[in-house]
Amino acid sequence: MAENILILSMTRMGDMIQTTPLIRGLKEKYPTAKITLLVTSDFAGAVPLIPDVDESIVVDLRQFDKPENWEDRSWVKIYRYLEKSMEDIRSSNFDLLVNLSHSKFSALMVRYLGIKKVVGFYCNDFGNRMTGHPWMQYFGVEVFNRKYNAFNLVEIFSRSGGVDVRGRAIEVMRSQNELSVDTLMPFEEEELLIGFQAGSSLEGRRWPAQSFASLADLLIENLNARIIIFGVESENEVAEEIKSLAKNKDRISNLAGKTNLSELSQLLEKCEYLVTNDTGTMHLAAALGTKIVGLFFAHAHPYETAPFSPGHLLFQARISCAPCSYGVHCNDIVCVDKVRPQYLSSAIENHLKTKTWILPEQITPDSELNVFETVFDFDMNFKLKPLVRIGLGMDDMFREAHALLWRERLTEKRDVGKFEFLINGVCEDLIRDYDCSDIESLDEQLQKKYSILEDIIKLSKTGKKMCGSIIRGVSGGNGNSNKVAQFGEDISCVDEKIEVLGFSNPELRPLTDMFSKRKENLAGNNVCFLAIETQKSYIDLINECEKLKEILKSCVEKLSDYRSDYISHSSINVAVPGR
Amino acid sequence: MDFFAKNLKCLRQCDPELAERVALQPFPENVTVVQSKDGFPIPRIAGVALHSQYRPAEEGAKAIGDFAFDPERNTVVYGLGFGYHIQALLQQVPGELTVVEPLMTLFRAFMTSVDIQPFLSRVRFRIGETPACLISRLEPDCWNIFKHLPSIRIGENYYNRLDEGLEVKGLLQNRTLRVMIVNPLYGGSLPTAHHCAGALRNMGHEVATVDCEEFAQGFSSLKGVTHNPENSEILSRNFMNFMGEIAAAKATEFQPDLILALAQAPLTPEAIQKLRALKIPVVFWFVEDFRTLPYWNEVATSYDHIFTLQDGEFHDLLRSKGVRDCYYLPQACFPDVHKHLPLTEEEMIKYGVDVSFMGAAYHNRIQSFPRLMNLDFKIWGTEWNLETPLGRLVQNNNKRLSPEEIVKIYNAAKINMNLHSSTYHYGIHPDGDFVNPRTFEIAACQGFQLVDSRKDLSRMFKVGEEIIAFDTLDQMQDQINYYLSRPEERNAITLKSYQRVVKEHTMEHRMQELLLHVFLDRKSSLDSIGEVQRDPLDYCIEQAGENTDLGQYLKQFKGQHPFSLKTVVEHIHQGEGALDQKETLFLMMDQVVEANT
Repeated sequence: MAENILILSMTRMGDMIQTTPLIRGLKEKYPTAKITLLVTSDFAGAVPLIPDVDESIVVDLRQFDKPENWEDRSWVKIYRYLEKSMEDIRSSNFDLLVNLSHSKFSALMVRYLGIKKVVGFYCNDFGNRMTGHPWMQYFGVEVFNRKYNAFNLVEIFSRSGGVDVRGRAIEVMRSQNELSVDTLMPFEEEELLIGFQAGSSLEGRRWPAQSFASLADLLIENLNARIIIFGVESENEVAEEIKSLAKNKDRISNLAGKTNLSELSQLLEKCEYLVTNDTGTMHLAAALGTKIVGLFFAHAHPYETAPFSPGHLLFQARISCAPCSYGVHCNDIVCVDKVRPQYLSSAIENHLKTKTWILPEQITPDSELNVFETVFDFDMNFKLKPLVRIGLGMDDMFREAHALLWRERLTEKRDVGKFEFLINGVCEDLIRDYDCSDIESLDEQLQKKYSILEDIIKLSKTGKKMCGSIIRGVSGGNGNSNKVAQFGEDISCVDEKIEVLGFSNPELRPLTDMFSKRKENLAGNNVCFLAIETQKSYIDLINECEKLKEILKSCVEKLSDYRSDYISHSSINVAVPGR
Repeated sequence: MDFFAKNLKCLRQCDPELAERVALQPFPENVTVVQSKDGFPIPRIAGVALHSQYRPAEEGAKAIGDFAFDPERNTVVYGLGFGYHIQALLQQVPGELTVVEPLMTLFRAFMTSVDIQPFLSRVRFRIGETPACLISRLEPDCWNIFKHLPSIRIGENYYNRLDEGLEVKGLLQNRTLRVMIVNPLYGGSLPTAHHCAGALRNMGHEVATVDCEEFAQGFSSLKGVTHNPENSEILSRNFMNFMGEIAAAKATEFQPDLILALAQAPLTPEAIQKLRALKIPVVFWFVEDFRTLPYWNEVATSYDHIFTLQDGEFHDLLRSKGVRDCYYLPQACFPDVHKHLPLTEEEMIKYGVDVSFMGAAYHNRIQSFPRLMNLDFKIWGTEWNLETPLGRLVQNNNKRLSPEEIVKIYNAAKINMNLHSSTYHYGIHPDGDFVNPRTFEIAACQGFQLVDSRKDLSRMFKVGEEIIAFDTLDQMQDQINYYLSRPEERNAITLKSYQRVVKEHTMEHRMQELLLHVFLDRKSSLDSIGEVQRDPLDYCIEQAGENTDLGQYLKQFKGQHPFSLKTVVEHIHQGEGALDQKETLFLMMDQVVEANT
């Protein structure tokens, strides 16, 4: 039972807001515990927004970003600062540490602090980054398998903290100070306020200023909206550009760099909608209840970072390179042009009237666009519901299948009786959201994958057997070290083959990557222990392969049934007089 | 009485180089010698008497009254005069004295008017030497200075400059300069460029090199492109321009405080101007024979300073062309590379020999060395005709040798032949002036050498005592026979030779002298270069507290150079066992520094 919990949240404001369901869950799980949030000085101002936090610790590393600030250019000063900060933290006697940062720095910090129970990344004795929790291991492989990931980062982090995040949304504390915002810009109570967040941390992720300007004009002319452009000081230039490109300048207020966090919160709350790139402001606005029209370009992926609450609309280009990998430099940015201002304007107009998100008529399956609505699904899991109905493809099928698989496999308490319920629910959603008429073709493609799964299972069984031999040999005391070494080499060969199957079958790679990740996190020198744990990894892989196969087959069967039902009840088959 | 001839004869025994210089100096017109009341000669320069016109010896004794002898330091006298104060010091103070006097004219007058004999055994005269040379070679940290005030008045500029030089030395010691070295494309100066870089780093400066040698192959390939000489010239010129751009790009990024180009560095006058636009000194060390490689004509006037292996005629020529500044800076050894090495039995078999020569097959060597074929003689080097009888003595098939191998060769031979190259002499260049780097390198390796006489040799060594030189090939053969049969004599000379080079003729000495000369007139720029920086490790230990856990931990890095946070982090990564708290903190700090730089 934890009484004194430390949460490391050393990333950005948006990430901090995304931890709110976890923090709420921890508070419910440990009602008497004190929760302390450790943040960096850059985003310390956001801590008052985070509910259920009793205390905060600020680590100021920004003071060292200019060598001249080290006074005498000696890093001894940084050492002493870190030493004192860490010792102060240690003296607080935390009994549970949750590290939601994936930086090496935070992992080393976890090691230094030596808190007994840790969730998240830490460094082992040799400085290697490790994580024991299955959900954090999944987080470690997700980056290589983004196409097949359906989990929002909120869900991954929350589940790694042992918090069931179903039905939960992000939330923030509301600002009590009502007075200051009126001085920032005059507006009337009944006015339709729509916010724009045009900047973002990476330039490639931004919708062009011209697009924002055109949208502003459409919203102003069609809905008499007032537009507020938000952002930090460095984004003022973008904001000014939008204003200068728009025709209706008098209805546009540029508040970039002019608001503190409290003022920003108040203004966002007053906005009916926020049209935004993938930013921290997006999460803040969503948590305050403002409807988001989100734009996801470059590496931004709505499955990972959509605002974690229902009722938001998200746009993303559906082109082969989206989302792009981290670290690439695009020299032909086309994704931003797929989203046209009239799409957003039309969607917002309809939403105002009907309080529902309706796909604009101009968008067809050929528009190369994904349009999603954020919802809770049949099982209260956060989900992106596609509004553009395209044919159900392998990627979509596997994404759904992996979601089912990992929710079951990585959660401590598994509800095995729910399988039928879950399959039914998933298939109903698939039928609703995708054109499943060509399920036979999909099934044909899946047969090949089943065969690969069998190959992986076969290899895993071989590996499992080899581990068994090592265990028997070593624990029986008659382990020939040469023989053990030979088994070790043979196991490496098996693992290499498994890895190759994953590389050559990307849909299955999450399985093989998780297998590798589990093995990476095995620590120690005891051969018997390592063999036992490795054997467990093989068993897990076998079970996961079998489960995935079961899920896919069940879905195909169910979808085929639905399709048959559709055909059998189609009017075309009904005898019509005179036909 | 005229003591000059007698004095010159004595001086030639002790300091032949100084003797040569003063021999060339006619009796000065601007120095008047008068008799004091008690009959001693007194010099007057520009109407100023340098000693008492009544009792100069008494005055000299009184003048040194306040001088406090320090046995830990070297006594250095500013000003010669006619030596009355020096005589007084010789009576009061034990050990050697060094006398610093700018005026060769005064020394000439001294040599004429005063018996030098009583001085010679304990006085080292440093006449007309530049402050940079004195400071870089004479360990000024150990100077205990006596100032002869009348001499100071006469030579005010010189002694002020000397004092400024000491100040600049202090500033340089506490600053980390950023020096960019432009290497030659190829040739004998390339090792010198590497040694310059090494020496500057050892002195605590930050060095970046423009590795032009990486482009040598490309330049070489150009020759095969066209036989048309005009077009070939265009290609070469364009290539040089390109190399100049490379140097400029490097300089822009590195932001040096000084740029040093070595001989055959591919920099055109335009490129040099571009570098000078950075408003930092751009200097050239021409480590070649100006007669053999005349391309210096094209570039000399572009540089701020030119350092040369030869003075005299070369400096006259340079000045006539309008160079801003030229300065004599001879070659040197680099003790990091050139050192005594114990050799294994196998290595002794491979490299060991009575007489060895390491070098290229220049004309005079091809002509001279057959005389040695009756001896146990090995040749190492390049461009030898292996088909000739002499060529059959070449051990390495003309393949390039590594610096490590060369050092072994020097260490292994009983006698190293050091015949300076000539493309047209039969044996010895009778007017050879500069001293090649091999002379210093063999000495630093504690190898015994026989070297052909060079005009500048006596400026570097006491010939006959610290080094043995021959004037003719016959003498060369005689010396070989003599020293082969006298190993103790060889060893004694080798040791003196070694002591002399490490005391005055290392690349660090040269770089020190170069920097002093360059920055003597740029003291203000040193002030703006940065705050005082000490040895980084000492500084960190002081910051941490010597007796703290961290301070004690850092002490294990003493001797590691250069030292930085990376040194500690790499040490941790290479370590074994679990990380302790301190190591974890260092790795955390490395992440912070990485993120913020």
